[in-house]
Amino acid sequence: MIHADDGILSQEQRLMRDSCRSFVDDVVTPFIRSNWQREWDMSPGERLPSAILEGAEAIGVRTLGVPEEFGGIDLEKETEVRTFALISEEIARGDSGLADKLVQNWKVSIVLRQFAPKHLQEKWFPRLLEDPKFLLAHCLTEPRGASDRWLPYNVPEASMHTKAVLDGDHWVINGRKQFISNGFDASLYVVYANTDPSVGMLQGTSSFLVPRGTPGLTITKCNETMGCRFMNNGELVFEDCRVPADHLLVKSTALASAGQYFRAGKIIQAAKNLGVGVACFERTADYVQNYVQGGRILIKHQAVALRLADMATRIEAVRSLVERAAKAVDEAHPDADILCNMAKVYASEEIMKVATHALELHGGNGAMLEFGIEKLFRDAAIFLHMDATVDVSRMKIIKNMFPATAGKYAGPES
Amino acid sequence: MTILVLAEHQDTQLDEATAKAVSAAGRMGGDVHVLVAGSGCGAAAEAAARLEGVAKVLLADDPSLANRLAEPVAALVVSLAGGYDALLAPSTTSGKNIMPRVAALLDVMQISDVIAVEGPDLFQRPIYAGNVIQTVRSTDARKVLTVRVSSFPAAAVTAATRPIEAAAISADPARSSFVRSELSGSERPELTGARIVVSGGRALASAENFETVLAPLADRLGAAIGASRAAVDAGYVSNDLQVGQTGKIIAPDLYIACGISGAIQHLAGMKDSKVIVAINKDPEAPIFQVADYGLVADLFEAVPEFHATVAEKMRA
Amino acid sequence: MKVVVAVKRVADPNVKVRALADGSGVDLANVKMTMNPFDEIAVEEAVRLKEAGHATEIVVVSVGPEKSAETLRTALAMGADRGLLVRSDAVVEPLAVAKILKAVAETEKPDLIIVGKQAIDDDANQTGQMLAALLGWGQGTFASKIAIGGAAIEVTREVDGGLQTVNLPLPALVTADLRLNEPRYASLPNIMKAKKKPIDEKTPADYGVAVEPRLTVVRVHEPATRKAGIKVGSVAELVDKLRTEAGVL
Ligand SMILES: Cc1cc2nc3c(=O)[nH]c(=O)nc-3n(C[C@H](O)[C@H](O)[C@H](O)COP(=O)(O)OP(=O)(O)OC[C@H]3O[C@@H](n4cnc5c(N)ncnc54)[C@H](O)[C@@H]3O)c2cc1C
Ligand SMILES: Cc1cc2nc3c(=O)[nH]c(=O)nc-3n(C[C@H](O)[C@H](O)[C@H](O)COP(=O)(O)OP(=O)(O)OC[C@H]3O[C@@H](n4cnc5c(N)ncnc54)[C@H](O)[C@@H]3O)c2cc1C
Ligand SMILES: Cc1cc2nc3c(=O)[nH]c(=O)nc-3n(C[C@H](O)[C@H](O)[C@H](O)COP(=O)(O)OP(=O)(O)OC[C@H]3O[C@@H](n4cnc5c(N)ncnc54)[C@H](O)[C@@H]3O)c2cc1C
Repeated sequence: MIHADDGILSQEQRLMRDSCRSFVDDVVTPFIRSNWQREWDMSPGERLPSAILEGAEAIGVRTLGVPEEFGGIDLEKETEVRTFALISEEIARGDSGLADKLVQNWKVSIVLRQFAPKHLQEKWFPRLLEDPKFLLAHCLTEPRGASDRWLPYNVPEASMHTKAVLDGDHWVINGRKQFISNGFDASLYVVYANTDPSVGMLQGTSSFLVPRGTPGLTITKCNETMGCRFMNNGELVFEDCRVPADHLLVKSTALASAGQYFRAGKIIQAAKNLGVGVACFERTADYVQNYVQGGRILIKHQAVALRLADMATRIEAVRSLVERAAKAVDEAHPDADILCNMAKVYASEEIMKVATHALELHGGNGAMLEFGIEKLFRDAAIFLHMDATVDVSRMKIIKNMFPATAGKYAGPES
Repeated sequence: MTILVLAEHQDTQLDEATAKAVSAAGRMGGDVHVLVAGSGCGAAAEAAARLEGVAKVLLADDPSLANRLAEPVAALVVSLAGGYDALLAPSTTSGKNIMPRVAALLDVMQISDVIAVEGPDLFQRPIYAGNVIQTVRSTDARKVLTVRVSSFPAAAVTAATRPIEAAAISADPARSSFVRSELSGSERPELTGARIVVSGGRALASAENFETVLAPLADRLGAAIGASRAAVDAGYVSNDLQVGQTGKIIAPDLYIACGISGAIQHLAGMKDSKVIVAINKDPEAPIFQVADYGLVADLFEAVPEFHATVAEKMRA
Repeated sequence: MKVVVAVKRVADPNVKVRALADGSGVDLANVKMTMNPFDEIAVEEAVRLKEAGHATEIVVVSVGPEKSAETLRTALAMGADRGLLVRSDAVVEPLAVAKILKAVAETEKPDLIIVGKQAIDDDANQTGQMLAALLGWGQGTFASKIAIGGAAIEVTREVDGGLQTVNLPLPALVTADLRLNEPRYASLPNIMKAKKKPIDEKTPADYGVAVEPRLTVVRVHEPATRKAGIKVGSVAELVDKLRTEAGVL
């Protein structure tokens, strides 16, 4: 219960899960527990603690998604997304910010292996493998908002403000991206920009590879987030940023082609969320079996037991949906889009409730920074917004289920 | 039934583990012989001959048995085994090194780390790190066992002495040779691995008091030093000594809490200790609810007295 | 130099194992299983010997149920070259394990065998010593350091009160203690690569070893929980109780 059922996992998946769990229990959890005071005053640079990065390297978790031909490993293709889910859950059980940092590499690697020209794959994948601090980022969101992109509003008025124009053998990018996971630290960015203002974003958005250090790219800010603080979320500005023409990944239809990234991404998102829920449950189950009120351990008070049961049930329900959705993505099932949005939105709301129970059951201790429960609560809250908001995810579900009616609703304000 | 106990000793002196193993052997019923194997170990044999419950002592004194390497000692025990129904050693590192070798050569399944003797062939032993106790019956004609010394009282020392016989020395299989030994000095053991932990709380009141009041007792007991968070926060000791929910979680055989109130967060780090002692001047301190032995006293008097008493007992 | 390492699948050390209500054994249903921690150290040491150019091949052996193949796979992912599962669904006592390993050693002819000093389930601390005895080899138990020198190995052992160093001619047997090394994780890429490494399967009967237990488990119970403590009146009484009643001093 609570954890994945070993019976449905392959031997490799179980072994990978075990390695990740050991890494979390040996390295991540002790680090998080001994640095709770510093979560709020660490500089962004300190949030890449070398002990953790070395541990992540030791289990080889930073570079999943890099194909074997470039020195990475090929997971079993038929269960790749399920494996991603299993691993991201385990890491997030230790710290969801760390999980964000790592999974962003896998997600962007999927984009690179599918869309980057071979010579750029040969250039960047080995660097990613070599440098333990090498991180990737995926830049879509702009100051004006992201929901339009998710739905999407396919009209010229809603298109991205970030623009790219071809000038000789270079693309020139101008604009601003915000809320970007790994944005502050990444070495390589995948950036979406408008390349045809006359059409809707499904037809007029292209994607580019932009290495850190490209003239015209400035990292302007590390966002201070409420949770997942060990992931440095950042803001970027492009001012006449010139990238060679071959750094174009997908011309015009980048948003539509990013489906692979988004589907796996939402499963990973839900799975990380699940990991936070599992951490909430484990900590709370332990607490209520040791802490005494009214002369007996809390769990013997029925009201406490009922809450714990509710936590367990919600976690299992989320797990079932995540598993079903992950399988659908792995098998390219026609309902995969719907299911992965369901998994993502359901996980975010249910685990928020699980975290609330955890907070409640810890009494006053739950509200204290040093106990670490409020951190889980903050981490859980973040998931409501990442990779589309709750309401926008629901809209996507219905638009996908009823394309002819609900799918037609979108349009700009007049 | 006749039982042979392999003595634990340092040639010139007999270790208390031997006296405890002798009393364990006594519970199996029958004659108990003690084998003292070593080099220049006559003094140890004489001490063994004074242990109550021992019928006779076999002395195997030979240079090949110096340092009690497993191969020659096991060969010796096996050569003597014919005359015995059971072979027993304390489960010290030496006993654990030698006895399984003996058992295999005799085609016997050893019973390790016995904590209770229920009969000549029925024993209790801890498994799963002591979380569970297993009672086993041995079907082997000859028994080979090691016994946990902390579970048995030491056999008394008597004025009378039993006969000491020389044992025939068997040929050294020469499968190993001694290079050197380094006995640890007074360096304190590490908190997590220590068998005994002496822990101090806010009541210690200063870093100096940790060194002058607590440290002597800890060193006398070969114990590690631990602390409550209050003591760490106040800067009396470094934070790697903190015991508790946000510090180290330990389960030593003996945990001595001095001037620690027993907050739940502290208990989380030490409540699985086998024996807990609390010294606190407040009789209502929650630490007493988990302590096996509580002493209501001012630690600044009790701890030095504790130290002195132990020192005295150890000399005796 | 060829190295054989024996590994056992045991309940995870972080799990608090409970006795079954009827006292017939321990409840291992749904308990997370893992490689015996001391065996992980043994595997790590072998892999380090290989990385240092001393060892040429590492064979890992496990005696146990089918699931032990997973433990072997972990060892292969850590760097061992091939695995051997000696399959037995019944409990195999250390003496029988030692006999099986002896037979394995006779076919594999290793120069060094490394095993963990004890398995954390039955806590017997016997297998290595028994195996060395049956093979007539020298043993370096509770090793915290090993050094290969020509046709011999120097083993520093953790003994009561300090360290003892012995020299053993090869072939020899070493049992690993906690401080010998810090084992690596089986990394995700290496887990995938280990899929391709071979695991052979045999039974104890293939080696002519009978596994019928010599010890009958009569009862299994949990030790009494902490009894309500007592207050003592003086330091003298305290020390006395600790010595005689608790037996911890
Ligand atoms: C921690 C974190 C990490 C992130 N990482 C990345 C990243 O790596 N890359 C990236 O590109 N982006 C990233 N984002 C951005 C994220 O995808 C967006 O924040 C999210 O999609 C919501 O967009 P928004 O912030 O613009 O909110 P808005 O779109 O402004 O939404 C505000 C509210 O309006 C509602 N709303 C908006 N439009 C509609 C509509 N048409 N109908 C009904 N309701 C509507 C929303 O549901 C929401 O309740 C990250 C965000 C966070 C918080
Ligand atoms: C910010 C803050 C300010 C505070 N300020 C003050 C202050 O100024 N003065 C002061 O004295 N205190 C103060 N407190 C303490 C506060 O009143 C307690 O934390 C609160 O009453 C909960 O008690 P507890 O922490 O002991 O939790 P517990 O009582 O241990 O509760 C833990 C969980 O167990 C449940 N539970 C406990 N007993 C039972 C039962 N019998 N049946 C069913 N469920 C049960 C609870 O509902 C809860 O879910 C403050 C706390 C905080 C967080
Ligand atoms: C989230 C959280 C995590 C925590 N984690 C830990 C943790 O990991 N470890 C930990 O220890 N604490 C932890 N604490 C703190 C814990 O709640 C207590 O505050 C702390 O353990 C108290 O330390 P103490 O017993 O030394 O001090 P006090 O509670 O002040 O107790 C001092 C005791 O010394 C006695 N005393 C005073 N003078 C003498 C004397 N001369 N002789 C004998 N007795 C004397 C007093 O009677 C009193 O009982 C944590 C707290 C929180 C909220």
